[in-house]
Amino acid sequence: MKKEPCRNFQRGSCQYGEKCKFLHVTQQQPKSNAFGFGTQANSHQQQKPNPFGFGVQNNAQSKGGNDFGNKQTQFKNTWTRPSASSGAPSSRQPDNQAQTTNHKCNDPDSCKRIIAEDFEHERPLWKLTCYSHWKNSPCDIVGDVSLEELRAAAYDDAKRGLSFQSIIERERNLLNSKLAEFENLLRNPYKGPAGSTPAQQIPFPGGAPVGFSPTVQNTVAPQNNFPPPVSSFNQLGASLNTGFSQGPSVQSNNPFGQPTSFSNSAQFPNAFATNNVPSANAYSFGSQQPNQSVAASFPTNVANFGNSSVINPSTNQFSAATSSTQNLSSSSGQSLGVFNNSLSNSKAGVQPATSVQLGKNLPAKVVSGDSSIWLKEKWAPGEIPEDAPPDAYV
Amino acid sequence: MASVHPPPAPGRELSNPPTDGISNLRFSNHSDHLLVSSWDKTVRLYDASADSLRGEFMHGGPVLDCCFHDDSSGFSASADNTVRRIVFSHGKEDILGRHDAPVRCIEYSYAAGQVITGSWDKTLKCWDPRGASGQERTLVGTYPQPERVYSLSLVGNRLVVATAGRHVNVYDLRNMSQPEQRRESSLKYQTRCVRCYPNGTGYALSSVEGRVAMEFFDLSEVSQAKKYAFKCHRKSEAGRDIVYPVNAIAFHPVYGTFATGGCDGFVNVWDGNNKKRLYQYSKYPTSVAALSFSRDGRLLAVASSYTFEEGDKPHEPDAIFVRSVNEIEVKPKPKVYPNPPA
Repeated sequence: MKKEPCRNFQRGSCQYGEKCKFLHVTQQQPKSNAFGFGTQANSHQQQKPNPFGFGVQNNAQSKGGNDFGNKQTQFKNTWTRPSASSGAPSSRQPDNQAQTTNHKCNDPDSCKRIIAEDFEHERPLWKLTCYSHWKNSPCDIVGDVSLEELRAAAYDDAKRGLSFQSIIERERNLLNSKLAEFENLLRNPYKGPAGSTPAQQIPFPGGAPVGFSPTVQNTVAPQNNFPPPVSSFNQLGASLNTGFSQGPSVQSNNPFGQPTSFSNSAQFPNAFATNNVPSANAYSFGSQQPNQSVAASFPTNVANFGNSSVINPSTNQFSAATSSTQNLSSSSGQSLGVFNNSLSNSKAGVQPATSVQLGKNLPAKVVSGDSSIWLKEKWAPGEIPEDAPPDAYV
Repeated sequence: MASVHPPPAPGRELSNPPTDGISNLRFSNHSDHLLVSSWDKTVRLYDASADSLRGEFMHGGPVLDCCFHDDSSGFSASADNTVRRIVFSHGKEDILGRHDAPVRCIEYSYAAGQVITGSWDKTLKCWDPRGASGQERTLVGTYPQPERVYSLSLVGNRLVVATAGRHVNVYDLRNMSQPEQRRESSLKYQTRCVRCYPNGTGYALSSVEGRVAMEFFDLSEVSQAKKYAFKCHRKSEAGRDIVYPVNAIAFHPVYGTFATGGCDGFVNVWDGNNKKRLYQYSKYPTSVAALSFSRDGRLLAVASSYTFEEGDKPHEPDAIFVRSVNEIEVKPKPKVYPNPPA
């Protein structure tokens, strides 16, 4: 009984014809492949016989330097290895790069198509993940959160006395902002991996409805026009989430970055929910510097969670912001309550060491976020700042 | 691969399982002892054949990984940032050292005589367990990583570290000053687990997107031509795939075939050389969090423990199943080519 597809037939080289013991079918859709072996890019090639049958990732890589738009050619060129086309020597490269020249995103539309296909057919169940549209390439979406990290944060929150409800909310916010990031990548013209240049950020979606994914706005707006003081502040916010960001240009990471600082979100679950102002979250952490007792309220492992980076000693810069943030928090009563909790908790079991540990290695990362509230065109109730904007925005 | 016979039982369930999620489990290299780390802050030592609990060691926080040193002692990695050594016979444990964030993975290298830990503080640390307790005496080195460490695996003198953001570093344990190779994962989404082939030629890497990539250390064209990836742990439903994270990979010590466990509750056994699936065990009550073959490959321990991939929801209790492994499930079946026509 014929069970398996005939690989030779798919290569166009089966000599048995009807006598063949294997099934003569053209390349099947990825889903119907019982063994699951197949190419990642299969979705592009559903009609085409796949010469390899199993994971031709190498093949797809082989033409990385060439016209990426001509994808069909890649699969016909069965035996060209990446190093051959890119000119890299086959022996080990001196800079320890195992991968030869990779996909270069020469054709953003093609990259966009890949992204669309991936998201259409293969969205993973676990959403808090980084993503690259091309294997071996840097991530387009940064901000990985593993299953264990999320669970550990929830356990820490519970230990600190946060209600189950607020933990759930925090996680839901995290999820929503991450989904918004993926949406962004899908909708906007493809600009290259997040880890590349700062310029490659998602352009401000001027047409985006205000109510829709405020995190999008946050991501987009500030990067290009943040004056330094604010940037430093953002840097603090970013530092909290350094673990999530990939390269120097973390901008695209922001909406995820800040809200996902677990300790922060824990403090301001509602503030984040209503305001979508990462600043609120960033503040709770930021204020730790001037206010060590608050820092101490975080159990060590949460404080260091995903973030061994330094809290930027640009404390001064956020003092102005701090006050406005606290007002932001107060605008949603519950969050303030939570914030107060953290303060009171901080008095017990103070571990100054915690905040010190936070100050270890701050990579310089510019992250937009908190002050983007000032750039929003329309404020939802509950997020209207009560203070005047910092001078930067006047 | 349609099965004619009724599915076999999932294996013998161990008594006295941990009271919360199981993060990892390992068979000893010397016996059928099984070391299990759990979110209930304990490390438990079982005699898997006898189904008895031989020891239980409390930690300050959830224990995320554990490994054996020899049959009398082991090590643990905890979310309370500590790395501990546990002496089973004395029922004692002491702190070998600390990271700045939860310690996610731990391995003991027989080749180097060192304990290697990876943490969410983005560092790898090597420890000499012969030193007295206290970080000053035991810490051999700290090696920064591009991102938080999610998984690591050893074979011979090679160490593979997989971090957040899809980075992979390959080290030679004899020279840790810099990675031997720096890579990005071949897969598109978050790395879940990395395991080296027992023959030392490469590693398997799994992600949250229901895929496993088979990679090779040798950077020559010939070797790199062999690498591939395959889809697994997916469920077709209403025209779409539900794509599950692949949480665990375990290599059979004798045959070099490997088992993968995913959030779909299935354990699959694969032949990496022939690119085939050899077997699929019947579905476990909930997500498969960890897998381990015994030293002779006769037993497979499966941690059936919900990993919260779908948030908080009612789930089956955490359990450890130990099943006897049949040769037919794990032995490679080389391709049989039909005879050419006369």
